[in-house]
Amino acid sequence: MVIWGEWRLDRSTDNLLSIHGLGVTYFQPNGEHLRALDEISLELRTGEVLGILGESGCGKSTLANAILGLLPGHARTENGQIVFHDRDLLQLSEPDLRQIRGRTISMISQEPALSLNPVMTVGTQIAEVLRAHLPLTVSQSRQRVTDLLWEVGFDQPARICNVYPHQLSGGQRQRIVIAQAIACQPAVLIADEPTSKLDGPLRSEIMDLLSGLRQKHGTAILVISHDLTLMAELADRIAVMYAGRIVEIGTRREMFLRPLHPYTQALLQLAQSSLVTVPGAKHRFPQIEGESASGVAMQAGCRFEPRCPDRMSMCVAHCPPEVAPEPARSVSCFKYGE
Amino acid sequence: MRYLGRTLLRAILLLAGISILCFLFTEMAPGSFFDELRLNPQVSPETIANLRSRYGLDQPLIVRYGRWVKSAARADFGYSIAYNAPVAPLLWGRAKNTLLLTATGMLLTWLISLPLGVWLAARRGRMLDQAFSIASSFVVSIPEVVIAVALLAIVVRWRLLPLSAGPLHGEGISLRTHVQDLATRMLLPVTILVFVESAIIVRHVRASVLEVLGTPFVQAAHSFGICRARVLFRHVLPAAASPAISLFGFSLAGLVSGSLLIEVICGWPGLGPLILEATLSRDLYLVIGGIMLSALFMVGGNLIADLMLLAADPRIRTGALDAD
Amino acid sequence: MPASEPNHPFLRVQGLSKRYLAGGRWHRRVHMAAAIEIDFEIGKGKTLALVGASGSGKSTVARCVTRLERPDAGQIWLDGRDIAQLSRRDLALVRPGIQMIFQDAVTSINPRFSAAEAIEEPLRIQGKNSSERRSIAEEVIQEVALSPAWLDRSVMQFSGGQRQRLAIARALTTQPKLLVLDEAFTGLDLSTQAQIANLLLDLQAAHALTYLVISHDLTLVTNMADAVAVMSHGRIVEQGSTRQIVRDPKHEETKKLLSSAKAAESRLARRAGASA
Repeated sequence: MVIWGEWRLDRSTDNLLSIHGLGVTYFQPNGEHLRALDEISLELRTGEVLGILGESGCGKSTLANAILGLLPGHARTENGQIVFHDRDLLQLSEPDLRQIRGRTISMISQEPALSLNPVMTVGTQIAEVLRAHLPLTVSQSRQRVTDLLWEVGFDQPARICNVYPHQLSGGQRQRIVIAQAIACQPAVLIADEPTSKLDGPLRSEIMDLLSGLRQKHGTAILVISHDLTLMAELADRIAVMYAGRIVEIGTRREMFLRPLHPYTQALLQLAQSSLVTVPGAKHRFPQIEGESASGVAMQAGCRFEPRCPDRMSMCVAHCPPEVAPEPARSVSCFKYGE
Repeated sequence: MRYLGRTLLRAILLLAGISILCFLFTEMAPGSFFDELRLNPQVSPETIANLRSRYGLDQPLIVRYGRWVKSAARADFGYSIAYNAPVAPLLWGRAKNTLLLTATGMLLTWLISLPLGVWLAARRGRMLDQAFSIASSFVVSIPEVVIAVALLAIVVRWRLLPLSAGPLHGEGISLRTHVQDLATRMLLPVTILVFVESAIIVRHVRASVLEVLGTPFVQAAHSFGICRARVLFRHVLPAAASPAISLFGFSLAGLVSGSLLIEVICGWPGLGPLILEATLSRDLYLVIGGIMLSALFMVGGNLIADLMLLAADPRIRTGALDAD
Repeated sequence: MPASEPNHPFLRVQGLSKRYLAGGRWHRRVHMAAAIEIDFEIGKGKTLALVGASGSGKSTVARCVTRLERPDAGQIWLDGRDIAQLSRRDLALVRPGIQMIFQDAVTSINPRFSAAEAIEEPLRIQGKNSSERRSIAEEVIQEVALSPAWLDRSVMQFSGGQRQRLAIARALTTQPKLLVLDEAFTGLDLSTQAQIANLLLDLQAAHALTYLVISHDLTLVTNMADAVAVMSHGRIVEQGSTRQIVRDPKHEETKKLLSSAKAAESRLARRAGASA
């Protein structure tokens, strides 16, 4: 296994990226504010894959953007820290953040089809990332691009270099984006819904590619998705998000075998019942009642309460604290009190 | 290659079509050059008939057209009745002056508008951008003639510039004085041209850049740590270029025809005053010659724009359909 | 024309074919066959799922059935009437009975509209006056489990899943009998998919709606369809009841689709149980 770069060499702790109590609010032009993230605390360890599981609108993408300082102008981070290599990313200046983006922490965004510049060859686009961070000569750069294309699974890297994005299929474009992301051998890769726009066979290819990265180079990956099968395949640990809060964290095994939070339980139940192997009879799916929480009116208590089958009277007014009922597990639910 | 051939063919067909229309319209327009003479009782009808046949005006339309095409192929565009001289050199002499004006104007316009458009798009919503929006809406909606006259009035009132009319090249003047003289005379018309054109072009460039700024690939470029300036000029501009290139083609196309009114107002001895005069006096071949020259530039400019688009946008080049 | 009898299929497609002209210059225009000799039928109140890989021709079939395109050959019997070659005028009478839900609700509904405007669009075309439109809108929005109080909100304020429900509400305004869902679940997360699937099942029971569901995703579809037809390269290669297809697939393509779906599931089961 070729460990990338200097990231492995000196580290005082095992935690590569630590997020403590992060909060983000969006201030809408019509005066409303949306608390997109609330008291988020997470740890990403070197070489591990941490999955962030949640529905659309729960704030997963906001989290990804917040780490890299890419939030839009009307968003404010209040309180919290994002510690990476002993530095708080939230306090860094824009030039310092730019040095980190694409170099030590890299992001793969959702829409591969649109994430590539239509008027530049894909080889040039990968080279641009290299150029931003590494002092390579033209020929070194070209060599590196060829190596990267090979690594992400293209058989004829030399030909692909000069091709334009519209000449490639969706899966191929996703690979190019991944090539861009790993160009500078980052320590952390943030993958935001890497497979949701792809169908069956492509999905497995990209999943294999990502797990290969971790195995070969020890990259830590933060996978953000609503897809349980992706989590089952890739993640070492899973953090479940709902409406801007983390409701449960645990190892993959524990989460699937014994989910604690009612929301996680509901998600799993849903996944089980959608299987093809169930004899094909028309039936209703076990649905989580109520609307998925988004929008402005967030109640003070537990945000899942309106839809929770196990809700209690205290859940409305009070937000459940994070507790650790078992080692390496945490959950925010009053069912698991001290 | 095929694309090139097709476009060229289209251009030629277009020019031919315009020439036919020219003839048709001038034929349909009432009056002829000799109408004034006819009113003059001292001139006999026979003289007029003689003059007419001398200039070939008594021949049927088709014959006239045929003859014109034949001579045009030999670069002979007929004879001007008013000036009693061949059309081509007359036109060309004036066209040089017009081109001097418009080429300078175009160069300055684009040098100013491109960076300004990009800069304003990057600073969208701020004071300067909003101020510009209002100002440019104003300029765009007022007819060019009105702006020209207004600026002229200001210049005259405050005696900002010496105004002179007449030919540009005199005898025995030193180069330095010549250039100076030229510059002062050009100042007003070029300013008007740049003023009016920039308002339009900056708006389009800004809109196009803004559209590209919102796309995922620009966000992606930022997320990879590429610095703002490079993203703007190396990633955004090329993607935003297509509409700008089309506009550039229009600018080129308008090199001959765009400044006609301004020349008349500012007294610049270019094609404008010539064609105006010729049209008013029904000087047939001069009018047609003038229109065809203008059309040539129009079609040529568009052709160049098409070629530039081909070079700039790989999607057109490779005949892209959606690959998914 | 025979009316639809209880054992008569509500939608019956026979020999449907459609070709497209793909790229090329003047004399080298290539004809690409997108759908070839398609035959299937759906009973009233039932659901047929049309599955296949991308490019297999499913969307083409959907567009022909809804007459967004005119098929080159074949018949489409809708409730006893062949609509395949109807003129536009005749089609206008049939159109309210067929509605389509598209893949991306974000792009199929004008984000600048309010929910009411989006839902009332078909009614506006039919020329109904504003109070009629409003009352129908209030009715249908409740059918899709959204509150009538939200009718005046801008579409932009709705989430992806909610917009898809608005699209369904819009489709319901004309009291259709056939609903074609073209990849309507793609891109939504599992719980939203479940919600919409349940909604559709309820609506089907309430209004005896017939559904044609197009999807590349076998998992969801096998749980809500009575019958499945598998397409590959423009042809239907296998069709039968869902149970039959899942338990005993015969054609290569069917087996391929099933195995990749099952592989994903077994990964889920295996990984979940395996040590971390």
